[in-house]
Amino acid sequence: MNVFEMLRIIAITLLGAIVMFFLQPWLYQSQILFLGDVTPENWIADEYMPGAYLVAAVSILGTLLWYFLSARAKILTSQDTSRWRLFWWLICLLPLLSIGGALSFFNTSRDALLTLAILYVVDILLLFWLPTATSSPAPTKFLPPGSFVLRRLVEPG
Amino acid sequence: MSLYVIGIGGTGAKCLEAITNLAAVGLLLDSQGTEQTINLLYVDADETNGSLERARAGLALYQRCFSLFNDNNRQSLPWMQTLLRSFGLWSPFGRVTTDKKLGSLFGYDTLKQNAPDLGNLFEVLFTAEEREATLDVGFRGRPAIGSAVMSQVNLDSFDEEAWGQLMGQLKTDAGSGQNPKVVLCGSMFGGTGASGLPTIGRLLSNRLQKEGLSQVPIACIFLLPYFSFTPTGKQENEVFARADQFLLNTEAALQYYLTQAKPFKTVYLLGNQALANVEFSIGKQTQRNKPHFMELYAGLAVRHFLLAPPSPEQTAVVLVSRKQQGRLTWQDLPDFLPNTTEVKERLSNATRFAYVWLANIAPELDRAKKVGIDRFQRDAAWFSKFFQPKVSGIERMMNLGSDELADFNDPKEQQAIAIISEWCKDYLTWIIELQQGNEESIELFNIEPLINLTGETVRTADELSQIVRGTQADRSKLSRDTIPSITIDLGKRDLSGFGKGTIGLARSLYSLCSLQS
Repeated sequence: MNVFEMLRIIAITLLGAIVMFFLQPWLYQSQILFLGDVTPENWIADEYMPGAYLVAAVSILGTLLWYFLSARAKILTSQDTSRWRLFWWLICLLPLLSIGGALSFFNTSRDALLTLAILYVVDILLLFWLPTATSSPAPTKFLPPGSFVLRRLVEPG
Repeated sequence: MSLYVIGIGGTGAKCLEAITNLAAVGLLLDSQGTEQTINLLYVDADETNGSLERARAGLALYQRCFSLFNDNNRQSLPWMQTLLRSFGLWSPFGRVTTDKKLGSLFGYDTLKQNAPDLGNLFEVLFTAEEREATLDVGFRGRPAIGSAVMSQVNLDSFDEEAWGQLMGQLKTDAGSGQNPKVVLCGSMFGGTGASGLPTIGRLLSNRLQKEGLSQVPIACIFLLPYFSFTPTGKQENEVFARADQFLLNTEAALQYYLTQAKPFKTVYLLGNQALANVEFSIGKQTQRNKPHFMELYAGLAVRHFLLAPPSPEQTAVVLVSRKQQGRLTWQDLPDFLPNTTEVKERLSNATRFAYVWLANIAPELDRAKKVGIDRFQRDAAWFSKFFQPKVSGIERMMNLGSDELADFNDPKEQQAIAIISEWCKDYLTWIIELQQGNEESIELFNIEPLINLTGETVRTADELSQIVRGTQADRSKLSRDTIPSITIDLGKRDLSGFGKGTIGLARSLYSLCSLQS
């Protein structure tokens, strides 16, 4: 396990958490993202937060699952690495499914439905895609989409 | 410093094969580790001898590989640092226009008519079969025949093509203060070596004196009998090498050298009690014996002669011995300095590199050709450190194009991959056969993983740590000594000092395959 990779995961996760639990509720609270059919304060406390916890937990779990499984994977050749691409997409399905769960079980506002879905996707990008694209263990470091560019930007040379 | 090595006969050629491999791994660098030139000359009457062909093919391959590494980073590793210059093959029959029979060479029929006494003496010395045997297969393991032919060689022979070039280079080296040294090696028990070594040694010494180069030290490496064979399908009176006469030949030769080995500054005598069984061959292509560890010792003797400071004594006789008969371990291979393990380290480094290259890198590069750079660079993180990655326009604008790296699809890169792979195969074949060539227990390398290489990627991770025998390492180090760990390091470590493209990749891998890494 590489210390810098772990630190990057922690830093990006913290950033994602700040966005998810402070910035996004504020956007609804200040009515930048309009909610006409519910009281924003109550909706945030009773529906947004539980849904956000679910998506965040599944995304972070997915990131850690990917990191530790791929770090311990018996990857002998580039073909083995290639096979792990499918595994990344399978793990990626978990946060995507969690969006469905959050929207189904923790949202009664029709006004919030579209913006909330978009924000959850952004959260998944922050909490799953970005950490895996910048910090996957060595053999799989270029597997997540976009990682070939990002990784060379954060680790030049 | 420059070194001239002259391999005489089939055994001499096999010694040159060992010397080529030792030079490749950096065991024939001088004490400063600076760039070294070793000049090689093959001497054989049997120009199609299998062992000679094999040695020359190995040398040609090394030279092709060496020329690839011709950049500013050459001195970053001992590997591929020694320039081997070949002066080709010289045959004592080079100027013979008659048929290559002893009787014809000495004009036996004319002698019988014009000088019957001499003709009769010739009959006493050589049987009818020996007089009539064609010698294009060499001297048939008969020093008496070889000596007769070699006695015809004179100082003028040293103006002939191969010798003439060698002498010219030697004079240039001596004139430019490179302190050249000369080594002759061959068997003491066969035909060509036993008869050629003393004659050529004496003539060379005389020639050097004539040229005012008497300070050039000459060493000789004599190999005492170390293999045997059982002739098959031969008649009793036919002329061919007989293993049961090897010891007798050797005894006679040793007596000769005791009094006549004056030209040699240093004498290396190498022998083994257990004789390896080889397939019988009268000569030509079928005389292709497997390498033997005695030839490795001959190569290490050359290393000793190269590194040893000039000795004030007239002649030094160098002797080493194994700790246990029937068994050869790393401790039995002499290092120049006591308590050092350079021989083990450098041979192990090259063997581990050749294994990893053939077991993983070469098949992976082959896959890169098949699936394309775009996909492969994402599957193998090390690839884009040595070769230009395939990037989009945006990435290029972000300066992620790495244009300074080599283009993987450049035919030069592909050719370099093929040549390095060929060198690895050739080197590993030598290592494998070195251990298979006899019934003794050779405990240098575990050759099973090397034998099992098929050109496909190897699917077992832990074999690398088992290749070098007698290596002590803790479990955590062993668990990290795997091909996947090395390929991860290839992608992670800063290896820019080793260059780019195939050559940079090979050098970087070589450094990571060191036992210390």
